[in-house]
Amino acid sequence: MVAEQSSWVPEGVNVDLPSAARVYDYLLGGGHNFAADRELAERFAAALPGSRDIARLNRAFLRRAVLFMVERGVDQFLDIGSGIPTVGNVHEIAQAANPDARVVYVDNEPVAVAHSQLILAGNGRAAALQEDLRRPEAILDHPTTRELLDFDRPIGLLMVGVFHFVPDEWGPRDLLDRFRSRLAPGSHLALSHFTADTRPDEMAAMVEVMSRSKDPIHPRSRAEVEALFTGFDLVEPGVVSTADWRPVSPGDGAEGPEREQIYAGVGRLP
Amino acid sequence: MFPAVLLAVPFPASPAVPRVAEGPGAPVAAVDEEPMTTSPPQGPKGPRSRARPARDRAQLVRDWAVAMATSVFVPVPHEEIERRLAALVDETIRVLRADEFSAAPAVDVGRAMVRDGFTGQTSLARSLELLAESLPGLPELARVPRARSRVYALLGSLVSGYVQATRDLVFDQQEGVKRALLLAKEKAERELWLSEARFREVFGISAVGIAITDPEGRFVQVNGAFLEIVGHGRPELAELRLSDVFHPDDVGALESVYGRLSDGKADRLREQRRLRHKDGDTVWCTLAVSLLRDAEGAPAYHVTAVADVTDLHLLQRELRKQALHDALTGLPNRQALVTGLERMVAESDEITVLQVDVDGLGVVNEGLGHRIGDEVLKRVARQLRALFPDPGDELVARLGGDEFVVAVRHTEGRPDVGALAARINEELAEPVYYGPHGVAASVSIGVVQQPTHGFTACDLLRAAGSTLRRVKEQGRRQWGLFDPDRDARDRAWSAVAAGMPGAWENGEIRVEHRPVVSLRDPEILAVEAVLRWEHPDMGVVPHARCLAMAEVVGLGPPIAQWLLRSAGEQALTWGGLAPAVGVALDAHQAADPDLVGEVRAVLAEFGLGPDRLRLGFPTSALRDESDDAWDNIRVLSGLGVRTYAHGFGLGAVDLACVEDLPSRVVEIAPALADQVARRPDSILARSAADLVTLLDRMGVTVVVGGVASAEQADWWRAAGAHAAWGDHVTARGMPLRLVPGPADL
Repeated sequence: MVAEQSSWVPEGVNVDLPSAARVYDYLLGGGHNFAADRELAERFAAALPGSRDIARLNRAFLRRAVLFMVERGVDQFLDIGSGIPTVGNVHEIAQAANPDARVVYVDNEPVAVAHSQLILAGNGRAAALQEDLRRPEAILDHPTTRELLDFDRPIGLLMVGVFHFVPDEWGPRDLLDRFRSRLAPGSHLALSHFTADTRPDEMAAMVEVMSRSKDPIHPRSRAEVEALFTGFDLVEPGVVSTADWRPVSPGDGAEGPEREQIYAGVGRLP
Repeated sequence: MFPAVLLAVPFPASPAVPRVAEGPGAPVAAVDEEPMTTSPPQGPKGPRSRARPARDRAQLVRDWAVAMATSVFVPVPHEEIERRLAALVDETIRVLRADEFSAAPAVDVGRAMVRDGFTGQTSLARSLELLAESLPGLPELARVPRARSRVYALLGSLVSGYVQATRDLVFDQQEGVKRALLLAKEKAERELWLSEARFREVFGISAVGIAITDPEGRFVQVNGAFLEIVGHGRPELAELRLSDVFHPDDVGALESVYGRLSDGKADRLREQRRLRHKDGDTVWCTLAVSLLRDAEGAPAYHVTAVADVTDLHLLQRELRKQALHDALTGLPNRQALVTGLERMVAESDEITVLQVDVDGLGVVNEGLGHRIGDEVLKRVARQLRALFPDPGDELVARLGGDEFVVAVRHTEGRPDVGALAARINEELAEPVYYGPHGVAASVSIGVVQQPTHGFTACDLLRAAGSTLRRVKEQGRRQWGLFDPDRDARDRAWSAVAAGMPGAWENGEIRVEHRPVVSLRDPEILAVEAVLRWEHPDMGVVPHARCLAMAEVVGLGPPIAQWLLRSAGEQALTWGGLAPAVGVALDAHQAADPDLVGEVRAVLAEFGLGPDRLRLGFPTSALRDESDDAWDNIRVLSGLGVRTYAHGFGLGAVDLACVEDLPSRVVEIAPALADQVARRPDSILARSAADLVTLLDRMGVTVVVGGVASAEQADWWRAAGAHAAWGDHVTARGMPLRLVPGPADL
């Protein structure tokens, strides 16, 4: 356990500091949040109209991406930036389709991780650990990860709604390289990411709101998001709006401009 | 783009695909942000459009499912959403159609909506709108009386159930997240506690003193090691500032260190400074100081780590002292002497240096033990220091062994050198008793006075040393002044000696043969192989000096061996018609256990009979009863090699040796011949003559070395000597015959 403490010291637990994970939960209609989160979420929603639908579409994409991977034989998932366990968690989706599916949740937010651990108590095939995505090796070599996931077989790496929290100076492509280098062929990457390609003014307002939180957001262009898939073969339809990524039901879509706010894609490691 | 997928979509009618659904006919609308009460949705769903035909049950379920799926993320397949809502529609119809209508059961429909996840911001509003609009027109309710009012009552109960369930759900979720918060806090606190426990442990057990102080220097936290270093208790420190434990002389320097940290000019600093212990002692410390800032970046605390290096400091001082002082006597050692003398030379050109050697220390050490020898040295040191107590003008040091040096700066009224030397010996002459042994020390002293020469400190010491050596040749308890001319000569010879190995290699040193001539007939009885060095600057260096210098530069054994071999080679060259070739061995060679082997090797190499070699053994070696030398002379004689004793003198011991010599041939030392020649009437000369006469009578053959003139040769012949070598041979100029060996020599 000492190794866990080695270099990355988690921030203290402070409910007065809003957390992106709990803001997302609130926008999804969840009650796992505190006043400061709700206040930030309302400002977020005011800056970026359609935020609840954006959140819903992103969550729906996660579900479809997981099911897509399960259909292709992936039965183990590493969900980075998993956030507050709310509706439609990966293990619920995956284990409903394949009871043997294994899931490791990773988040850097201690309350989110503690909550996940409470939810997962008694589930031998899913676990949550607290780490930072800036330390891929610490995640990949974590005893919990090693116990649940077999890196000799394909893994579904889920980076849904997390890389827009990674500024360029952290080297997002290098971080993804370090994850990818440890995956077996046939592994998949699902990634979604805020963009300012559409509604740049509203996005700028939202970025401004978040810039004063502990989780500032860095939208990226479609080309930049595509570049994050380097080393993976993008599956059809490539990097598109969440609503356009293989929709199957009315809940997967939306009518307004909010449907264009997050890019999503799935890539397969050849 | 996804025709297959689209075909699979189980929800209704034409433009249901979200992406392509556009315009007023689309069943899915983005109305989430629009409160129903103020701006009821128009067009898309067209609920109020009378033109639109009434929904049947199936259509209601389908529309409701789309409304729910687009108002909230429900993580189930759309068919499942429809299935759940169909159940709710059926229950609603059942309630509405009851004979005795009661809206209450609809509470459960509202609860079920929440249970099934239809909890989006607009889920309830859109549900109410759909139900209020569609329920009254359902064919199933066609015969229900006052259906519309029943519907309104039912919706009221539904809302009530929905709100209660939502409250419960939110309470549950809040409870869940609070439990998570608690858990996370506990974990964080546990980690913090562990981290603090680790810190406390490190802080507590550290041998390094640690003090945490606020910017005003008040102590916030200190560890035990710090308390120990400064000697204060915690209550006392609470009243003190950090600067109170600084050494007064270092307060300024240390305050500037803390100031630089506070000003952000440095992150951490290391200094070697002094603190002051409570009892006033100075504590030498290595201080490492760093600044802790608060969350806003303002200086909050100084952390000072203090390593008490007093012991180290004292040790350093002790080491420095040891490096510069002699451990036995505590006097400055050679290194310190040189430094001190250099300083004196720089300050004054009137300096006398006395090198003082304790006479006979070896005798004391061997006879009475080194402990008493050491006591003698300590006493000499004490007395020298007492005689020369002024550290400004006088310096007493021990060079090592039995050698001391006193350096004195000339001042008004200082006794002259002779008086100084006498005083030293007077002081030391008083015997001191060590147990039963009364030991008195005497010293020999070499003196050099600086003003005439302008020497450096090292020159002075060398000159004093060489003077001392010269003085000691004259016996004990002597003193002598430095003789610059003699010193120059000695130094010149030293330089010559230093060049000897090269000269030998270059063939400057040769072997020549001097005849040993009978004093009775003009016959050469033997020849002796001797060294001759024609030095380019010094002229011819004679045999004796060559040997002495060879000994000094470490060439003794190889040169002696070379000489022996040359003798053998010469004997071969001359053949059986020439006399034996002799070599005068030195003391080392005479006692060398390898000598017999070497001689046999030479004889074998040149195929010589043993009587073709004459080997002279130094009388001194035989006199000292060196068993090795006696063994050698007996064995070699036994082999048939001619032997004799050279360097023979007048002493009774020398005479005693003669009795045991295997071949009764002795050679009078050239030094004795020289003294006799200078004073032929002296007692010495007369006893020499008597000795030779006596030896002759005893049947001992006497050869005289270094006879310089015909007169001397006559004198020795008269005394009874048989043969001689020296310049008289050439002086006389007589023709000589070779006596083919073996002769009697």
